[in-house]
Amino acid sequence: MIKNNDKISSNQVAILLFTTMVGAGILSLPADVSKEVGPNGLLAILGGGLASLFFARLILWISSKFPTETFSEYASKLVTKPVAVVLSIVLIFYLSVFVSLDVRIFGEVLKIYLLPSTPIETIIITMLFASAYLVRYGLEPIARMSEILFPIMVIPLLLLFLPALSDVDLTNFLPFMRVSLMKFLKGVFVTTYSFVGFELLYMVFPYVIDQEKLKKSVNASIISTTLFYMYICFFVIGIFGYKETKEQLWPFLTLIKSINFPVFFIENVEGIVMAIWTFTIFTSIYSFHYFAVLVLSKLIKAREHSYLVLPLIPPMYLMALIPDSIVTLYKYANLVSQYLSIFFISFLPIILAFFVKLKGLGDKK
Amino acid sequence: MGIFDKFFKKKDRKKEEKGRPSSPSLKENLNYIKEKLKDCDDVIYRDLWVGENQEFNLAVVFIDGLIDKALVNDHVIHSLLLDSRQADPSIEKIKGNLYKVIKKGTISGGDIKEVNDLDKCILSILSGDTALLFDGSPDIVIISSKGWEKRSISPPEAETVIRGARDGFTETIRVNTAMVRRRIRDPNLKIKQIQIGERTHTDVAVLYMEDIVDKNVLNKVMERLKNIKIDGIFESGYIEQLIEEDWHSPFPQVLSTERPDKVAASLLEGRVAILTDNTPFALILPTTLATLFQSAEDYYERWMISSLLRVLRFLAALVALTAPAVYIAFTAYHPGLIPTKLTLYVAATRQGIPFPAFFEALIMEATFELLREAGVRLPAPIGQTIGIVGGLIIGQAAVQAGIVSPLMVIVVAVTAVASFAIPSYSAAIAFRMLRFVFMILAAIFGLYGIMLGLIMVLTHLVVLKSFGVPYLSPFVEIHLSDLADTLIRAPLMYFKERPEILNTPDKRKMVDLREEKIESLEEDRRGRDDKK
Amino acid sequence: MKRKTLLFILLIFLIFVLTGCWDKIEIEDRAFVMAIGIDLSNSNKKYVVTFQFPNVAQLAKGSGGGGSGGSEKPSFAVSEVADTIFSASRHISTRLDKALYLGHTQAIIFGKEVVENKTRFQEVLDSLDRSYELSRKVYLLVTPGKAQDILLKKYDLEPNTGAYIRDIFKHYNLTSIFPSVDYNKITKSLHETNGNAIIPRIVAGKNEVKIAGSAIIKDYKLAGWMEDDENMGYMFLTGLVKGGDVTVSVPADEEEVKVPFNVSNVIRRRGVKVENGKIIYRVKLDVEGDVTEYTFEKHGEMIKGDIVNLIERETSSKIKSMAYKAVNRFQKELKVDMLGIGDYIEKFYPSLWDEVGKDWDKIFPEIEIKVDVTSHVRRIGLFR
Repeated sequence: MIKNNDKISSNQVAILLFTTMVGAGILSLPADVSKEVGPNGLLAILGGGLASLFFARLILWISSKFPTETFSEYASKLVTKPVAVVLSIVLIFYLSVFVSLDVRIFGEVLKIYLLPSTPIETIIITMLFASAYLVRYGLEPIARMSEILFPIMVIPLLLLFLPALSDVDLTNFLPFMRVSLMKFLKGVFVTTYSFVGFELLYMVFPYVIDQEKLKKSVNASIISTTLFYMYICFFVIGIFGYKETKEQLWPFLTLIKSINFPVFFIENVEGIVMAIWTFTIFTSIYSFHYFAVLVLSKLIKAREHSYLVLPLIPPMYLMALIPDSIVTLYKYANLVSQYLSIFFISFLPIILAFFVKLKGLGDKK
Repeated sequence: MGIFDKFFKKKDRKKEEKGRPSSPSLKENLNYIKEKLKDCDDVIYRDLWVGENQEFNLAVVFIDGLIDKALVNDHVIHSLLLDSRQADPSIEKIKGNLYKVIKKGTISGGDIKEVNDLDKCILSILSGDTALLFDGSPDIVIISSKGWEKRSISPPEAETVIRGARDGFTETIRVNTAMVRRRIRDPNLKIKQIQIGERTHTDVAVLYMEDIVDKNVLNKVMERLKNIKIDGIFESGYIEQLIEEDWHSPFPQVLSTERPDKVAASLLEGRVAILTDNTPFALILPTTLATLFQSAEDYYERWMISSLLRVLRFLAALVALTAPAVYIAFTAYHPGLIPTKLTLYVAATRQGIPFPAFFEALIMEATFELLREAGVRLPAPIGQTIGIVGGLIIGQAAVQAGIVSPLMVIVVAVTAVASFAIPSYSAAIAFRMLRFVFMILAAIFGLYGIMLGLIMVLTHLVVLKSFGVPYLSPFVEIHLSDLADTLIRAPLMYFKERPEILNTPDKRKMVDLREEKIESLEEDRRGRDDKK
Repeated sequence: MKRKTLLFILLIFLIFVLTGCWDKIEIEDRAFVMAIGIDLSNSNKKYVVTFQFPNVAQLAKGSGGGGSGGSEKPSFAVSEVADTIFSASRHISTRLDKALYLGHTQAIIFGKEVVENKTRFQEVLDSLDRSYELSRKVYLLVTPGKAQDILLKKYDLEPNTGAYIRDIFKHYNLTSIFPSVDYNKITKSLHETNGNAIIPRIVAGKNEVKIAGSAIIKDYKLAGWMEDDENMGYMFLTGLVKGGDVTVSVPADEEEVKVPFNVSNVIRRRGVKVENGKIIYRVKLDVEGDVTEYTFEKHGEMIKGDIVNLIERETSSKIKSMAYKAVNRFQKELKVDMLGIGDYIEKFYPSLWDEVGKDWDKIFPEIEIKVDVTSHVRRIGLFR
């Protein structure tokens, strides 16, 4: 059997980033932004997207200084080894938490919409094993999986909403920009959870063939993610209005249940959406799973990452079962996204960039 | 890695056996051959005394049935016995270089070669050549006289087309290579022939275009072919299974075809073809999932209908894979996902059916597979009867008896039809088999089970490679130009380049007619301006 | 390694196979509820919930071509007394051979008593909001009597009451005398205005049901009923009219004739002005339509124009009066902003809304609402 050579192209990175970012966040995003900024949700998402773009480029810049090293290696050069080890462990924990959160939210949604009496443990464990099955084969198949699932995820969702265009009430986006700046920034802040995923730029750089094109793919993926979110929120808020949207747990799914699809012979497109949603979550799960395993294998200098895939499953599984209810689940999700994510997305890159400048490390060409 | 390692090890252990050199004595040689071919009553030994005074002792050895009798009689025996006398070479001249004279001057057969290894000689005899042995010379002349009863060229049965060539490969490798050669008159078409099988010594020809093919792929193919150490090859399926990357996979990683035009077209795309003696099935590789959905006819018909058919085939694959599973999931798990009227209808038709949906589907699908298998094995006229009995009588009776619901029968029928719409039979088999896995998954988890199944199958496909080419390309590692020949078949105008995934040195396939047209238009305009 | 992993996965898979199928209920074992009726109960439990579902076995006979299905009931209705709607749907399974499935419910009918009681109504609405089985496209209706009475009857036209109601809603734009709002729109309105909504009214006839007019919900409580005219005025004001007819009286030679003006399109323009501290809300309606009936003796006169003008004027004033009826009802009588004026000001005059938004409930009865209607007769039928 030919061994996969574990190199991917920058195009694949773009798609991998997109599929990783678009995950569980899409369900609650319209409600979160509506709660903070009212009818200006779209702008908040745009703001979140631009902020993410900035930090993603920053992370890319840092890792491009060390083109052959992953996070734990160059972090030890920048901020001393013990700190780097701690950072790596926290990063592994953080990525694992995202696997757990995503898989738990997925389980909850599935339980509510499709399988009310199936134990959630079963759903979680099957999903984790499905992810492990893929992750064992390494980065290259993962990138290919994202490529194959990307059109399956995006195209039906884009098309599905088109018949509902006549239901969109554009006045729902008025009044325009009448929230205070603080509130708006808060709204930008709550979109973080939906943009989590570009942290994999910390690790992915050495595995890219055409590294010089990465900037373009990062731009493309974050902009398209932002546009995709804005597209979804345009329909959700446009049809429900922000007052109704913020009352919903998962306005995206409620919308699917509410709109009439006169064009389709199927009245209920929930089935299709749940199917796509399975893929959407799956792409995020395996991506986080893989990078958690990758950081771990670099940390303990393991020769093969594949042996570490299964051992990570039990902690992920147990973490996924910690929240008692969906209420605590979202409380944890908010905690993680507000502290850990913000740390890894914005503070850490700034600190690392500072050290790069300070120590003048990295190759200078 | 398993099987190749094993082969490598074997190779180390067992050194190539050296053949036995022939001796100048005819008797000794003959005795050796007779000893080796003891109890082979189809071998014919013909002793000849040639020359004006019959002073030269010769022997002709061949196998009855494998040779072209007319050729051996007219051009070997007749030449030696009669024509050689008229030529009147004096004894003196002949003495000493009899072999040369006979080889160059007497035998009027076309294809002649000399060996001086008795084991090789025996192998040639067994392949249908005629051996001519001399007294006093260790050289043996092998006259190619293969001529056995063979099937004439007939239309390929498994891949019929409405528009397209009607000739299909036969069981004779020479005829098959000729059919490809006739289509590509290019010195760059190389036909490398090797023999595989320690006992069968089956001829296997590797065909490729020297300046188009990716050398890495070619080397990989040659290497893997050479590593095959097996007693016999009876069908290209042996080779297919021995050289593919993952033999746990239900998906064929090598495309088999009976159509020489398909082989020729694939060669021009930069693929490698393997022809095997004794089978009309050629192998084409590297193969990706998309090529399994291509039919030769796609390129002969206009692009719109071909594109529609392509889309239809991919849908057919999806239906063949999931239709019964979807039925199970929707009826037993999620009646809320289908329209109200349909729900009521399904519920109504399933009234009083004693089996759960899963079991119902399982019975019907198994019955269908049974019927298909029985139909294939039976002679054609009875096979049709089986179809009628199975399809009409059992289906109708089962519904009327209230054992299965009419909708289930429709689902099974649609699934069956869909699985036959996939051009590659072996790919269709993969989808048919996986269908049962999907049914089980749907019976456990409903729609989620189907999604899990899809994820598993996709993971498998994503990992799979065929000779270094990702199996799902060009859908993965996307090259936009390649996508024009996948889900749709774009107008030929767009196929200016060979598939990107095959990494061919020579990329250009066609000069864009439109560019030329524009140029000529411009020239026309310029010409007119000049006139003014 | 690989083989062991495979074996492990297979083992886990096997466990699922052997223990799985938690959610499996065969389709023929379910009862597909098409309509739900909710009434208050007199006993110690709170509600009487009525579920109506079609008799699938009878459907099968009908589609199979068998003629002997006539004697069987085409649909069943069962009632259960319970404390909550969903405990009702669970408890009822002790009396049924099938599992109730609410995913295909087409209509939910509230008895008058439920809507009159604020806490009860809120309870019911909340349980609907949280339900995952119910579609959000289900129609909510209020009946002046008891919901049970509507569902227990069998109607000749369509014994399946849920489907019957859905089909009536499909051609609401022929009349526009009841609001075509489904659960999604009603719950949206309730959330946005904190308890105000319009819910269509259903009344049972002898052998049919009729949906006409609507119930006004103010602060999660029934505040009154709207009759056809008022209802149409309300729908004109909120831009819900997609069709329907306005009958106007036109003087003919001897006596007045009734002329139906068939609305085909309505364009609504709105504006808000503040004059002397008083908010003026102005609605301008451009109504397009055709006249397909006049009087037989006046053949050839329609084309002349004055009559068309007359009809246009009459129609305008008729619509205006309907609209003002609705305005009076909401502004003066009920003092509840169901006309979307607050929403409009919030969106288009946000600075004004900052001033008045907080006590809009008090300001609303004071504002001035002006309605202008212009009608255009576009077609006059096939005769001149």
